Amino acid sequence: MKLLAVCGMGIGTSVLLKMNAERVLEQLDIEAEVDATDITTALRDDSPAQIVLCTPELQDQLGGIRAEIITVDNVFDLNELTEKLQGSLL
Amino acid sequence: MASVNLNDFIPDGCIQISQANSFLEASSKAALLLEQAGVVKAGYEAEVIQIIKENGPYMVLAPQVAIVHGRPSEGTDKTAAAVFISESELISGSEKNDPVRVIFAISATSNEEHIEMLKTLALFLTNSGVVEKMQQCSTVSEVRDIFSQYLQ
Repeated sequence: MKLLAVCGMGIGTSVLLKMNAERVLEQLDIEAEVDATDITTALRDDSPAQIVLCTPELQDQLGGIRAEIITVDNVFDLNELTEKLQGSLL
Repeated sequence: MASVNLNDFIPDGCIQISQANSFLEASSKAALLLEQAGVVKAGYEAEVIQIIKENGPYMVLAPQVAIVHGRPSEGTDKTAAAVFISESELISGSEKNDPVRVIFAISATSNEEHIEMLKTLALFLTNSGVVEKMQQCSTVSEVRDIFSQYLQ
């Protein structure tokens, strides 16, 4: 399974999202690959990403993407990430 | 084993506790700390502001915290971070995470060291209460002390 963590440039917020998503996925014992990327690349990417992770303010810019979008309010709240990823994946 | 903490990535002079009139002004001040320390190219601060204006406050990624940066560089910039702690509450437009009080400006390198810095930052900010502790600081050395308490 592939997840995309998306932010404006692909080097800040998305990398932090990727790191914490990986921590949570490991705890949940879910095998998945998380890539950090920027919006433009995410929209162009035709790879079969199942889930896109981003903060709420980017959601509108990701309209039309062929994946489920999960918005994360607090990137550092592992409980929120766990709940949302569990809700989608389990 | 060598322990790493955020101080290892924050050059001298790159922590400021001060007033700002807006989220953009505070972001600008945080980015200028990096420019003044000579770790990023001139014009970096303008890029930071442009990215916020273009994409909205998506970088306000936790209650009271923003992490801002410019465009990825072509290898001239060093991996580094700066911190601006605002004495007043700032409205960024982030529905869930306003008001902002703490802004980290990071350089936009894409090497191993950059990942190491983000990992250190993520581990630090995952501790509950650290952002509140930072706001209670009135001196730079108090902020440094908090960072050094959280070793990776």
